[in-house]
Amino acid sequence: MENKKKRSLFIYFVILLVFSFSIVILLLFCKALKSDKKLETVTIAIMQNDRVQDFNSNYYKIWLEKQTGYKIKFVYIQSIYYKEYIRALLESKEGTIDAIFLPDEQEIITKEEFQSYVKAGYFANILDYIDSDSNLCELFDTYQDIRLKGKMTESDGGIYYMPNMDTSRQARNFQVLWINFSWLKKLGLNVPKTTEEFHDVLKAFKEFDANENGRQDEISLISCEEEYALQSYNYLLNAFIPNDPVRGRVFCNSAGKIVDSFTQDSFREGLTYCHTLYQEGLLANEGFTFSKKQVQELVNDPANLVGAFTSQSIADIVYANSPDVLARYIQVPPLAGPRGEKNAIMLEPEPCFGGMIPVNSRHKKEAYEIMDLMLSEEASLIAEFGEEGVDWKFSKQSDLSTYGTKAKITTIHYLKDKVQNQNFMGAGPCVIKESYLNGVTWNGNSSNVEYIDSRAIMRYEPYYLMKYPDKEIALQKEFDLKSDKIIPMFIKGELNILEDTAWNIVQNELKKGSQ
Amino acid sequence: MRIENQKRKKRIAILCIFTLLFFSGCSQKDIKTSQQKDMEKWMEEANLDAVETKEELYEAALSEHTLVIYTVSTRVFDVKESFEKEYPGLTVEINHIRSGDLVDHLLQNYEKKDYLCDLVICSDNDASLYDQLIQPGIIYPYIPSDIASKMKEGHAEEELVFLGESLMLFYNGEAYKEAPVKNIWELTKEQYKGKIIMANPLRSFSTYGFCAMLLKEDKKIEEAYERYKGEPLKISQGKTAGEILWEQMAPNIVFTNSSDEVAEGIGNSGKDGMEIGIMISSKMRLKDIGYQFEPIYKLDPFAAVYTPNSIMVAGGCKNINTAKLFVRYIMGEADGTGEGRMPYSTKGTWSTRIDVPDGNDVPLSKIDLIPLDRTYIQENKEEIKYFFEYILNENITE
Repeated sequence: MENKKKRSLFIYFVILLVFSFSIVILLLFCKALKSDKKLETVTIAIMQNDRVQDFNSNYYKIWLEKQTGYKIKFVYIQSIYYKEYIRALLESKEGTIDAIFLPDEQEIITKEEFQSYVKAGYFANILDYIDSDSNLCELFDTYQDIRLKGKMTESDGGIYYMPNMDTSRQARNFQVLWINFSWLKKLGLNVPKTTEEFHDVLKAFKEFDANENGRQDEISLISCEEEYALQSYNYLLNAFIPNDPVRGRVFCNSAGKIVDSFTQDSFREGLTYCHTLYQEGLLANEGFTFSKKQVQELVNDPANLVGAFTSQSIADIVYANSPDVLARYIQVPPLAGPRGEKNAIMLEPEPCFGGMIPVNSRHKKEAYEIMDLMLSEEASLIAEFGEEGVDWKFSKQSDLSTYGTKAKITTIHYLKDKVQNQNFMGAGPCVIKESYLNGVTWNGNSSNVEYIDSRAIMRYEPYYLMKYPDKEIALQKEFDLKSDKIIPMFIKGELNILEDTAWNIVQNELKKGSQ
Repeated sequence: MRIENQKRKKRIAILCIFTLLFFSGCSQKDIKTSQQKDMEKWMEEANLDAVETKEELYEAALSEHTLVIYTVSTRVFDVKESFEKEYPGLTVEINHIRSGDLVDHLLQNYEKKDYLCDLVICSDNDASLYDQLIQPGIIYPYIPSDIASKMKEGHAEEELVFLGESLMLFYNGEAYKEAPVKNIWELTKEQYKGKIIMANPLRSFSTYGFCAMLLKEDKKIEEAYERYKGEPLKISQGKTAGEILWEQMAPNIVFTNSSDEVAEGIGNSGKDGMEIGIMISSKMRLKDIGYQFEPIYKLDPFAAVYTPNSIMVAGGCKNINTAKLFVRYIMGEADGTGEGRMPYSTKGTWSTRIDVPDGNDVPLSKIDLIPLDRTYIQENKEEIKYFFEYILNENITE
């Protein structure tokens, strides 16, 4: 009896032992399988951003890790010698970086540099990894109208970056004129509606000590050569004839024919007007030498020095965290020229370099998977607005967007004007649906730059041209590159706009160049 | 035995739940008490009834930090500029936010016992300021002793009303030489489709007040219909004349986020812009920089709803002397001639002091204006909110 009991105990013990052993084996096998597949560390080079606390503990990064199963490690691109840093990491034989993420609004790598890197074979071809179910393919379908795939394809037929593209109404509006509201009030002046009135307002700013400091330090109108939208004369020329520097200053007239703006008498008339402003000291000479940074410092100066400037977004010039300065400026709807001409330019969304995979990367496939995930709807909402339920929520049916349409997104914590750790502040691959970008509720703060911009854009949209020529065709003329250099020369009087000889010589030269 | 055990366990569980509930109730009560205690202590220190001269306040204010103001008014930026010049060494930070957000921020500050705000400038046309901030003791009036006797009746009690405005109708001065409408029912005409502009009533307190009064005054609306059409309005069961008016008028309206956009729509967009705007009267100051819109003072049954604007001290305010000094300054000091009042002495504003003239050249008595019925709003708050959610939902475009 006792033997029997002992035997059955022994059997139980053996069964338990075998069972435990199998569980341990199974667990180890699962772990090995998992680690085999998903424990890769993908190292990504990124520019440090003062507004992002720490990319490595960032909510978006952790979300990407959870979704992909990969570990992500960010390393920072040197802020001063960033070009040298990128070149060095691309040239090294032993790749330590698996992807490079670029910020959305900085030309860290110019188009020319990018093309030279592609030519040298430094970037992996995205087409080697893409499949028909990918988010990138879906974007190609969605943005067929703007030929997204074509825009991203290099001359050898390869695609070497993942896009970062702003599709919002704000990004489509080329330029807005901002005027000093406090000066208008102090001097009892009206918001100008015509180029003639604008001239008189600028003159009054200059002559009547608009900032009331007893010194003649007012800059009536500032410009900046660094970007087309900051060149205030581009705005003024639109009161004479459609002037679209981004598409090589050509436009489709009412008959659908492509016209070179620069060859038209109205363009010359516009240049004469700009020259007059320059000659009278109303269009500041500093505008032809100052960098964007210097213009920003001038406009944000507490001494209140600038009367007017142009930009795509007010935040391009006025610091988004300066409510006093933001309250100082108001938008001016398109000015009418001497014949009542009013034009505004609508841009086409352009893909920027969001992320690239160096050819020496040891985890190309993994890097691609992460970047493709970043192009999904869920990821892009985090990239733009932060964590759902914490930083934003889907709007109620009765909520209004900043454009007065039905809102889609209600922000709970507005992330863009503060230091945060919820997303990458626009860096990396990112394309958000227009309906989300244009459907954000106003956070109630009148210093919110998106709200200020959207109010301006609604005044400009009615003056967009009916039809725009294809940008690639327009730029083939290479007409714009020369006109870009010649326009400031006419404005500053280095070439005499009033003399037919100078004008005709330039016209002939330009025509030769475009043939 | 088993049953008894079960019973005992049940009793213990119930006891535990009650104990938990008791303690959680206590802790809730404790938090509230601690905030109220904060306020009591602060009230003592703030000494809002003290008789102090501006010189004494300035001297004390010099040892304080930046004054933080939550405001719905942009003109306070101008007051800040002259205040900082008048009182060197003092600085002001302005947070310009919508009325609803202002109330939310103050409630959050109070909950967290993080008293970030010193002064509050806001209208109270949806009674939120009174219900959520004044009654619970989150904001307080500071009425300087030498100004109190100069205030108009009803303007210096639980709130210090420093400015009178009205929410009213305007028309595009480039599109029309005179007011295009004489009866409110004309706004339902097809010709005004997409040509009337107003702020979202659920986001702008002043607009909310006007909209709510159109619901409240349904008898007057009904009578106005008969005068307009020459026949009585057919009102189906469960509806009011005010609701019918809104349902017929809303498809013609473009809703915006603020009165600034309304002013831009009717005053700065040429004759092809919006034709009728419903907005706060103080935007009339934009006429000084060339905006071309005109007020509609006469309308059947009414053209405007009075909108008082208050300046209040936030409980827990850390810069009380600067705050008091700023209140005096914006009120125009004891004689009402001070520089701080000037930005508010413009077209479309009415003085709340007996010794200071109105900014607007047409007095309130000459306008078809009704007062705001705060009691009606308080009693019907949920219904009004649901109604306008429905109106917005039906009429905002995608």
